Amino acid sequence: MPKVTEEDVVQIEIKIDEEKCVGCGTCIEVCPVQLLELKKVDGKKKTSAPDQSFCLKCHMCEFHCGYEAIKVYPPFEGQQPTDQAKAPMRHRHDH
Amino acid sequence: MKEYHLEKEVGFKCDTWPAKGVPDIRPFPEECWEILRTLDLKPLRGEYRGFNMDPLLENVDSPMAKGAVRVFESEKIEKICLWWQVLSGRSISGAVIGFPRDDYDFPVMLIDWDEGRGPGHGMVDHMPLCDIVLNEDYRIKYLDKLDGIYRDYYDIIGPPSLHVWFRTLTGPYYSFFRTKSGGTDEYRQRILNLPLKYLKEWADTVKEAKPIEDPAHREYCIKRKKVLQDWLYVRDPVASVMLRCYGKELGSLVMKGLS
Repeated sequence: MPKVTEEDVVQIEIKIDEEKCVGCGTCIEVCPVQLLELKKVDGKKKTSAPDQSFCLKCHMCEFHCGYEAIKVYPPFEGQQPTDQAKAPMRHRHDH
Repeated sequence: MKEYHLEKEVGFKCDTWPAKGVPDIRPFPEECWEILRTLDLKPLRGEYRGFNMDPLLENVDSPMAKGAVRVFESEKIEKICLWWQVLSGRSISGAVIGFPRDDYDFPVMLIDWDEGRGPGHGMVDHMPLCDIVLNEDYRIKYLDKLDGIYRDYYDIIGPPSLHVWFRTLTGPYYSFFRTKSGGTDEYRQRILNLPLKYLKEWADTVKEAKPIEDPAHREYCIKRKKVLQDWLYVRDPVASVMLRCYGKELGSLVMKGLS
């Protein structure tokens, strides 16, 4: 079995656009490792990712965000979901 | 206490790698193996579609993930993968994906499930190997046996996968569900009972399966199976996780084991 070290693990970065983020919490709900949390920015709730080391790079936060406020890099290389696929999660937190 | 054979016969058990925040891990891989071990499986060794499968005979280990990706074969089964991972020490993922050999056209078995401290998801299906509009007999023969189970669990079946390419592959009894936060509540037990029922039906299907007689149907099913496998290999979002956790070489091998 090939040994996997820290160097083999793909490095990632989660970027959150606070202007687009409405603090709905959808990304927090779908993250399988509960990496994301809400913080107050100028009195408004925004998502933050303080410790990204245990992010799985599943892109669930990105797929489910109805506001395109969160991106995981490097980008997901497989088939992208359609805009229609994003809609079912959005209606639950209408603002 | 029920006796399970997974640890002795395959080399791991459900709590080999603990997941923070998931109390009382249900012995789901053990329960799957109790069904699978009736199919005369043997480890898939050596070359499979350009990949050497031998590294998967051992448990996998990386700073981000630990678990088992075991692949097996039998007289009728080209490849079946029993997959159990703990990711980032926080999330459990399990899967069973099985494909018929070229001489058979029974459906592809699919179980996929994950849970952690927060909500997770799961899905189960018998994926048809051919078009079931033009081949309604196929649906009647292989898939309609799931109708009673599907109706019994209809209340927990939730929205389908986000990914349109995946929805294209699924059968009429495809079931998708969301797990709630870790715990031993009745809901969680029910949603894990559903895939086990599908797996039992699939195992019975395999035991009764006869080789394809029509050469044209055989050729068509082989072609469609290969496309299905290629799509799972290339498009499955779990590939992103596997490459992140295991790096390109082992991550690609894990995906080939799954697809």
